[in-house]
Amino acid sequence: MRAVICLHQGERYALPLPLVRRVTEVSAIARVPRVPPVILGVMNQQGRVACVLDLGPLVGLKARPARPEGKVIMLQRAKGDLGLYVSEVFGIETLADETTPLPAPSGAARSTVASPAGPLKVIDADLLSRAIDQILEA
Amino acid sequence: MATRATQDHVRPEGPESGRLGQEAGRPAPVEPLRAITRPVMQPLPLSRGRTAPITVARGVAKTVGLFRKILIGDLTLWLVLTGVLTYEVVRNHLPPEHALIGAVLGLIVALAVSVGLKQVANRVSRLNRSALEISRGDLSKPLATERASFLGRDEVDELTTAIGNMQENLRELVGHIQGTSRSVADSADEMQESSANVSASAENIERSMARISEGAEHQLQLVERAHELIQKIAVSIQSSAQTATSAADTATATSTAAQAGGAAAQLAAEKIKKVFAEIEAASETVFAFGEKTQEITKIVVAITGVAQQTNLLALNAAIEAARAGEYGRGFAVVADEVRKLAESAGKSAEQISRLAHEISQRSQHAVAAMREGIDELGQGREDLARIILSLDEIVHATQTGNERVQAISVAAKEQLQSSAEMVQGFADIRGVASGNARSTEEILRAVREQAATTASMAQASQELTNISVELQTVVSRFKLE
Repeated sequence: MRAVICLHQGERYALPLPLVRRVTEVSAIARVPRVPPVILGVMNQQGRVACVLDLGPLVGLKARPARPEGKVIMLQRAKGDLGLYVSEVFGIETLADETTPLPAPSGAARSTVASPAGPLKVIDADLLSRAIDQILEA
Repeated sequence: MATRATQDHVRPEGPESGRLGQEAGRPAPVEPLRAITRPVMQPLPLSRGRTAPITVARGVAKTVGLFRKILIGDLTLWLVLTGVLTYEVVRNHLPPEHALIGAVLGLIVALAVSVGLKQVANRVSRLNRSALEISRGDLSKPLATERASFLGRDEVDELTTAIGNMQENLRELVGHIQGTSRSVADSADEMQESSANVSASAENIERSMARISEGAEHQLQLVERAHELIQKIAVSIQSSAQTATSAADTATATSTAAQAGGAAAQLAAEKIKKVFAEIEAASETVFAFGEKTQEITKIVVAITGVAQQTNLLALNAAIEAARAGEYGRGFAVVADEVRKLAESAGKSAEQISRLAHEISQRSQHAVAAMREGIDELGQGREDLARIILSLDEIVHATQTGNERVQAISVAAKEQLQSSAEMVQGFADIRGVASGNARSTEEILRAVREQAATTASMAQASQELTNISVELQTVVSRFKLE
């Protein structure tokens, strides 16, 4: 399994590669009024408006404001452009297929996988898509 | 001869008559005080002289008795004369009328003799009364000394004249004695009063001299103490003079050293100016290096940004290659290599950034230190200028101080000489004060002796007063008027 390894609020996560379209710098994020805190705002992405969400609430953490040194992982979705704000992106790694379920699953993070730099929380693609859809539909 | 005998009787020779003659005729020489102050109960010469009138009265009484016997023998004398005439007439066979004539003549002679004798007896009787009055001390009644007689002056007249002279002499003598005794009494009183005054004055003088003696002793002690203090001061002045001389030498050396220090400070100032210039040049270099370091930092930041962008592009390329599947596997390898290069470049850029940051910080520290150093140097330059100015002032002050210390040294030497003279002067003063103290003691002893003498003189004047009173008492027995 190939995944993009990222860091958010001190936790290392493994986001499956098929979900990722590209990784960009955090440009000017325009806040959108009357939206939940998980939605950080919208940004210009190659001439198109992309919605930016905070990964924290999607994996069971609290929402925090974006910082300029962070990264935005643009997801491969059919329903418009959407990006996840993370603190850092380390790169692409090939992980073992065997995962270990988390004793206390939180959000889209359901299992862990071993890596040379330590265990990673694996984000489930379906759960993530459903959580994003629920947020956007709400 | 009778006159000389009378005079000899009136003025008998001897020690007492000589003393009386001296007291009556000429002033007696002043006797010593011891002679005046003999006991009062001692018989006076005048008491012995008082026996002269008594002796004269006794002589007169004897003479009167003799003349009485003569008067009683008038008849006997007539009878004897008549018998003698009768015998001569009978023996010479003369006529009887001769015997009668002889008897008549004898009677006449006897009567004449009797009358003459009576007159002599009366005169002697008056002389006797006068002598008795003189012997009682009454000298007021004058004695008739002249008698008109065709027969001239006889022995009774001489005796009367002698007694009159004696009375007059006694009157004069007693009057002189009374006046003299009063004068002596007055003089004794005055002398006693004077002695009392002198005694009081002597006591005052004694007390004053005692105080003066105490003052002289105290003065001597003070002078000795002052002498000791002056000696200590002289020693201190000598030490001060030596110190002043040493200070003058030190001031001279200090002035020389200050001048040398001023010259060295000038040289140091020139060198420090050069150092300032070099440091300022070095600081300019450091400032330029700091600016270059900032440029490097900017470049590194740009490189880092490029590396990050490259890394991000490599990451996206890897993502795209992964999405391409088997077709994108070679591109994924290239992208991974690019990502690795980008990471390596990023790490190098990060290292360069750290180094540049460290260099920048150190250069900033160096610049800050340089600026502080320049500021310090500026202050040091100002301080050095002030130091040079202060050194110039020190040199000037040292020269002035040297001149003053030289003057002080000269003055201290003069003061030393003056102090030696002052010590000698105080030694002389001490000698004079000691002499004064001894003289004061001697004067005090003399005053005490004088006081004792004055007391003795007062006692003697008291005795003299008593003697004069006694003399007045004795002389008052004589009545002069």
